[in-house]
Amino acid sequence: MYLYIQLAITGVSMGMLYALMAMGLILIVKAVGVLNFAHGQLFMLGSYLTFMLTHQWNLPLWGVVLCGIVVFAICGAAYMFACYWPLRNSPWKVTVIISTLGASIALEELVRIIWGSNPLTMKPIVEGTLYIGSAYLSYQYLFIILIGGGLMAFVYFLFEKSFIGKLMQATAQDRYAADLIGIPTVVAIVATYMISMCLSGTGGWLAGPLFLVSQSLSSFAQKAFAGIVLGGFGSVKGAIVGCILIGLIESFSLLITDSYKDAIVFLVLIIVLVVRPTGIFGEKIAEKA
Amino acid sequence: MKKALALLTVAIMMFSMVACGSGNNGNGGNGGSGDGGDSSDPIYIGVIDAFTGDRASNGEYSKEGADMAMNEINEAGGVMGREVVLVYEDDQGTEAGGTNAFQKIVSENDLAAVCLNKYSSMVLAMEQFVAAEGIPAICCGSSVNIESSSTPNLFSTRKSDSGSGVTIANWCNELGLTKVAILHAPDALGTGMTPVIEATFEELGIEAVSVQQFATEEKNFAPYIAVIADSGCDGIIGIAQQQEAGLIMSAIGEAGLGVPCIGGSAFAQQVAIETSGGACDGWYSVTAFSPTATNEPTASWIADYEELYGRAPDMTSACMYDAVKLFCAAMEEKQSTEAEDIIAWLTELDGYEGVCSNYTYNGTPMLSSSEYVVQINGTTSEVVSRVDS
Repeated sequence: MYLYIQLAITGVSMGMLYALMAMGLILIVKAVGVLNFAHGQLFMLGSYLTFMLTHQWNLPLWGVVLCGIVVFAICGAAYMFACYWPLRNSPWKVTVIISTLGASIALEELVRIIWGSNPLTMKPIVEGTLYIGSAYLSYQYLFIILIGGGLMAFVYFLFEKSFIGKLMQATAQDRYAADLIGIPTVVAIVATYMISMCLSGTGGWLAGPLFLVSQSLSSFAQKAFAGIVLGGFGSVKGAIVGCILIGLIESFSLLITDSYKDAIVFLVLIIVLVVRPTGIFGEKIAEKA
Repeated sequence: MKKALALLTVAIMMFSMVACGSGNNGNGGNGGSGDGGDSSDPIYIGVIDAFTGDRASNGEYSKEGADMAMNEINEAGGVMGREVVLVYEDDQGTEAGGTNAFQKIVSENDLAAVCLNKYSSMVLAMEQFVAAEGIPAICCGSSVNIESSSTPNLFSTRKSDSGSGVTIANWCNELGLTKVAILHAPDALGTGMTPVIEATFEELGIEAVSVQQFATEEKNFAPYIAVIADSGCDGIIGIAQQQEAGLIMSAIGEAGLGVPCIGGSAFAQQVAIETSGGACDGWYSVTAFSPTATNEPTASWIADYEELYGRAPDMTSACMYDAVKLFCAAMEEKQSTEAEDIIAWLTELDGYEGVCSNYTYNGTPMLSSSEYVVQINGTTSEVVSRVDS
């Protein structure tokens, strides 16, 4: 029983980390129609930047949060102006996607130049372990669930209930029409990239103490992509549910097999796509003749 | 007609000059090592390791050890009066990168010998190219597949995983453990050593209550530890590379299981100790090298290394240092840079004193004849026992 509780908690917290990355990815897809292949690297960059704030600048927690938001936002804007903006009118639509692939390599090399190739250790944001029977739950895992849940609620209210969110949604749905009615679409797109980077960067901040601050953190993107597809491509709600499911499947699959844990995750993904090709929350889009 | 003949003559002359030149300089890269190179030409030795990618930290230690050996040799007059130059090639820490790096380094340079990294999977991927080239190669890998390799020019500065597996199982017995869980890597190290431990456990009457193989590039070890904790084990064995080793120690520390833990060599390496966040305290490790070894000449070498680089050496530094030294000793003794002479010298080894181990050829590529059982205390590992074979 305690084993199941423990697997559930670690599964949900891993799912939350994937979901933070997936939400950022979906926001960019909705805003500019481009799948950002450097999103795992932005997650990794977030981890390194928070390492810098906490262990090199020795800022207190509130300072890390405030400075983190500012630094992430700047990085998000810089990323947009470097990888998307110059290529946005390219006649070959794949150009931007290729630029994100290039950015993924450049970002990995950049952090290697700045912070070196050794993995770095980061103190847990919340130290200690909670014991329930024979189950042990690190507070860091519980903190991930708490912060992840909070950020998901924030994104929901931002996009569904706020005026700024509506401007961003309008830009995402039809940029030309949004331009015509006077919405500053550039600002809306920049804001989307900033929020996206903030989500991924926060994910990196939360993951760093548990999994070390290293270039390999970017590999989390594979599971985030799987979660997005499982939940239904293009749906923020679907991405969240899909990623949490991926985290749980990954965790509980250990009860069946240790060696083929990832194979089970992707087997479930294939089965879901065969049964429901649009994913759990995806909607079929019929093309007009 | 005369013009054509003149052109033909010039072409033949040019061809002859190029052909004569290639006798000394190989195929266009750094020339002059083998094939009876000029006495003033440097001797080139290749070093292949990860200098970028996730395993780049290993490459740093490797380079430090190899550079230290090269500098010492050159300061002492070189080999046969010739300067030794190391040529580095980045394998990016991947099997594909390793095979590409090997082919590149041997095709672009006239190498007398080549040192390979410690990742057995990568060494095994490179093995067919090593065999085809016939160049003497010393790796730092320890897989049972390297031990059973029939490539005559491939050697290792390590003991085989099968030997280390027996030592780990015996140490579990020494600690009085009866129900042990094993968490191992999916690579050649993990899949090679685990069956040996299980077989030795059977002989010793120890039960392997849970055997978990973690996924490639795994980061989240909490679920594995939960399953292991549920198995009711009284001890845990970890077999992994250094980055995973740090995470495993950290996850077990977080679980607060309070049982003795024994790891492979990676668990006592600096990167693992530093990344475990203090959870490495009390862990035992069976390792080819300990930075706190007190036997000579190892202790003096460690002091020199620390003075030179400002940090303690890792097993990789020591293995690579010994690999370069072994090649140079072979060339000096045989007064030759020919591959067959170097290989012949290596197969005649009997008790050569290195910093990592004493080296003896026993019919397999694994030249090392000793290893340590160490216990991690804070951020350093203390030698508990030295196992000689």
